Amino acid sequence: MATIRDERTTRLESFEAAAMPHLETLLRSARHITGERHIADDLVQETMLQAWRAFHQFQPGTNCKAWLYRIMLNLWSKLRKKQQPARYIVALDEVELGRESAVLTNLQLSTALDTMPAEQRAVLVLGIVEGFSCREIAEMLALPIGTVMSRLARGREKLRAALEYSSRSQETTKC
Amino acid sequence: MLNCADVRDRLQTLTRVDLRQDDQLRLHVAQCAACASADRAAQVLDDSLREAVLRDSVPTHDVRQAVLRRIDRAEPREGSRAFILRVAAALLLVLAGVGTWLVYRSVAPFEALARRHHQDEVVSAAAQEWITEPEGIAGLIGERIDASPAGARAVVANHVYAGRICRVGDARLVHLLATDGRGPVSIFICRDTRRRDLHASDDGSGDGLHSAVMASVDLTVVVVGPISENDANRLAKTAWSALTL
Repeated sequence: MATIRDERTTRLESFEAAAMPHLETLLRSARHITGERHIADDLVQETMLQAWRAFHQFQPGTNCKAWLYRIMLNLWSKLRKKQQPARYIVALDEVELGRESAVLTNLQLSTALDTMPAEQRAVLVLGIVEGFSCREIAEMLALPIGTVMSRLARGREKLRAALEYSSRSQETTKC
Repeated sequence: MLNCADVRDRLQTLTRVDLRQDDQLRLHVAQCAACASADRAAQVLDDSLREAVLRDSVPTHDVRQAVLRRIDRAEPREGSRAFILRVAAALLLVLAGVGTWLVYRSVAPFEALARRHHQDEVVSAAAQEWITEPEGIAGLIGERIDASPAGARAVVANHVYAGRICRVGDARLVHLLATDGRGPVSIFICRDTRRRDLHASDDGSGDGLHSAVMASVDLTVVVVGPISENDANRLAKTAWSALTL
């Protein structure tokens, strides 16, 4: 029994060192990808639990972050088949007009991201925010790499449009 | 060599990680002011989105605690899984042991049973149904074993003085008594192909008996008595030969 306890403690320490540091990143990505905070929290909890159960399969020295994302996106894919999550939309009227333009730009981009289709959000978050390559994203989402590239391009177009809209709005406000 | 259209396309469709590793693109951008400008614009867009997403810190405390609680709750299952595995392994060992014993029992114990039978029925003289007339014994062998009269008589001539039908284990067989000077010797004969893989054993039981087995596809002869192993083998072989010829 003591041996089981020791094994578990060692395993938990390894897990905490390898997986737990990615918790914030996973949570942030999950919130943008799912569009729902409570769904994201549940998704990340489930991801970490699955990772803990399968931690004996994880090869130390390999990319733990990518491994966790694969688990999370796989779970999310299953979750989406059961239910279509509502999108998290920041209404523009919540934005205080007197704030600095940088904040407005951030909100515009964040809003643009959150109003995109979930598939596009996932590709943008993974590719632009989290720094994965197209090939890694394709593996994580089980998509052809060409689909990833086209979603990335269309997502960037929308972001660019959101930025341009933001610039025009600011110029109009000044006038 | 990439042209400007290729570069613009890649700036749109690849991630920053991919773009940094694209030597052809980097070479072109280093030599083309327009594409360098497009690259900077793409970089600004990506940086802006990253900044927008990363600007707020995401509190992880609650989720972290929830994860640890769930891991903790999962512990007994981990422990019980190990326990279940150990119990299953122990059960498998027991089943393997029982299986081995059953296989062994179906073959080897016949000889052991014969030894015990010899002790109980011959030494203790518990059995009362002995036939002592030589012709009667030969008839018993011929009837039960389907042996030729000559073979049966040959067996009886080999110092056999009594015979009967008996049951040893799950087999009905002819039990003959022969003399050897040192005490009664039991000769068990049966038509049972399952006994063909019996092996003669030496005296390891401490009961002062030796046993020997001669077996063919359809006939088994077991000899048990206070005789030497060689004599037991010889007697078994003689009986077996007489009945199979």
